[in-house]
Amino acid sequence: MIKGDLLSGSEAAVLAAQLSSVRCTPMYPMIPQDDIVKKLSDLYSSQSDGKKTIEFFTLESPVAALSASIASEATGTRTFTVSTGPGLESMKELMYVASGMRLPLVMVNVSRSLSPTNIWNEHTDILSCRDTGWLIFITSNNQELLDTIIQAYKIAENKKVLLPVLVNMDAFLQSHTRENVFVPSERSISKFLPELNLPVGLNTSKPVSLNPPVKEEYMEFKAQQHIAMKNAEKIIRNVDDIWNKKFHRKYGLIERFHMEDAKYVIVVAGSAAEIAKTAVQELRAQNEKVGLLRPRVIRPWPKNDIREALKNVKKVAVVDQDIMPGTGGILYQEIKASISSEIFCSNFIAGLGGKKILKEDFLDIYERLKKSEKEEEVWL
Amino acid sequence: MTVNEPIESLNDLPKKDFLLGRAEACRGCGALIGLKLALKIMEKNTIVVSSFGCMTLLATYPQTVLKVPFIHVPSNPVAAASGIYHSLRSAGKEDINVLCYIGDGATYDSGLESLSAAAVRKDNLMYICYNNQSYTGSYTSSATPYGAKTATSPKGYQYFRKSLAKIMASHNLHYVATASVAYPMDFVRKLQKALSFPGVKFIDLLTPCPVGWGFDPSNTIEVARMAVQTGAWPLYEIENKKFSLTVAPTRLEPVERYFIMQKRFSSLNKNEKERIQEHIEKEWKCLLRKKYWEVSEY
Repeated sequence: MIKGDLLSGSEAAVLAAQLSSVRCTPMYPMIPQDDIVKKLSDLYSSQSDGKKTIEFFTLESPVAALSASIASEATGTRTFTVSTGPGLESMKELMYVASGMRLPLVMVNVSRSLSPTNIWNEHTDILSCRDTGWLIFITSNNQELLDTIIQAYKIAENKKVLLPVLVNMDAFLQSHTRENVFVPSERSISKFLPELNLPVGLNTSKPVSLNPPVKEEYMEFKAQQHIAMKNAEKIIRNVDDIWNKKFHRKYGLIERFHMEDAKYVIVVAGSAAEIAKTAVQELRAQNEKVGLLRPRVIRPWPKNDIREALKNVKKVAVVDQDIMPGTGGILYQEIKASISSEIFCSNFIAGLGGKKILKEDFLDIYERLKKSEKEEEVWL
Repeated sequence: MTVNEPIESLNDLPKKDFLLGRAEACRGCGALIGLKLALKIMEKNTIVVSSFGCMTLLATYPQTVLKVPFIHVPSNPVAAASGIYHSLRSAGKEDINVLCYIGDGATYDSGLESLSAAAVRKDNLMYICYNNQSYTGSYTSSATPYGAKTATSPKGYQYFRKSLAKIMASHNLHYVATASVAYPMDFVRKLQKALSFPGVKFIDLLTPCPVGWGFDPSNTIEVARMAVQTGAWPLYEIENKKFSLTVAPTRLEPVERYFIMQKRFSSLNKNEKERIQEHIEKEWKCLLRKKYWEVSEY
């Protein structure tokens, strides 16, 4: 923990990959993650021939970039790639392959809207990956982003987990916005994150066949994946503790803000939570009993943490920056399923296609939540 | 580590096999013969990449018939091979061969963009397309020849296949060739030559499929040989842009002899067969005059 610097999300992601001693970066540039790809290509071409520590190349499609990343990781090389909305959706088939092969790959997603065409922030893309067997983190600022990417390798490569990880940042609000970020030293990270030692991989001195078809044992493999995902919860906490000891920053699976005596709680993920915090602070100054809960880890879903955090509250407003057409918000469904049915819980759909969410919106949400007599779904 | 000495005869082939028997593949599979030969030449320092398809059956959990590392990836296996190549490069292990042994479906169709991109990037890959002229399950691919019946062209395919060798040659590769399992020494020689070049090396290997083509599994080699003897599958190479026929029968057999060996051509009538015969003869003359780029292969 040596220097502070102003870093955009893209810069923080590249720096995190570098600090994590990533060796191979197969990429497919797409707005808005192209900023990361450009920065990596700069980094690659600034290395002199014969002394390249990081390999970089671009492929012809997002699917190809993930195929290449999977195979690269399977050779036991620490690999990093990026994605965004439409690209992430096209990668789905391969995402299941990565988790099915139990590869500790890390991919950063810059969340982007899907269709009608729109390049701005929305969480439908990242949340649609919730069944793919990848661990999913939604970060809210660039410091957390940098820390989480490095932690992600440590978590993914743990023998009890061995699953791929998606780390999300919001398009433009994080990716192209500079914030003050403390950058850990290379030495401290190399101690924190030892070299990758994949138990099974493409190794000519120990040949194995990877990703073979499976018959009767299929359910056994799925059960192991399920257990690994459950194990991940504990490993995330352990890694978070180690990180806290080393760098004095702690994140947890959920973030609690003024939750101690809160009667009304706003649940929101991503960078919008930072804006919500200012609204909560303002309301607290007026003695309103309001708090904020930010799910940071989406998979494994921190059900117990959420239930515990919300057990004594009166009303909850889940702010979704995503939509299941005809059903409502994705986070809303997950939160509803995690808490007692006696807790009043309304759903606010906001920020789709990058529509701005302001402090005033959260003040309105709070007012509406407090007054309403029936659970409702509101589009901001 | 490949066998560098030119191999003159079948007896000189290395005895050691990296593809064992008992694969859960079909009897008489031409593609297995091709892989067995390729691994005899490329030996243990090789990683094999394939797509979902017939080669999926090489490894069915928990067993495998390969003594080299193998990975099998859906959609675009060539991109996976590129991933392996680049990760090996980052680890300074560029002496390891990456062999793409991929069917015509994932080569001519679904994997073509990845193959093209890898060729442009000059990724060091040995690419062998095991060409049984259909997808696994005998569905039409764009390698299916005109008139052949498949599960999705029950009355015979109505289009001429694309010439992938030509497409690959237009990427300015050092080495592009066609081969046939009936001419193992021709194939081995081409493979050895290919391995001496950097970048993507492409061999389109005709591997007859008893199930899809409709012939007795004991006739795989005969069918593969007849494809060459009739001019339906000419054997050539394009080495540094120089075209040459490598096996040139002095007189072509009538293509009818190739057709009657297989059920897949049973819906062709006399007129169609004559048309195909004329087509092949015309193209063959072009090939003899090395006017490869003017040919539209059958």
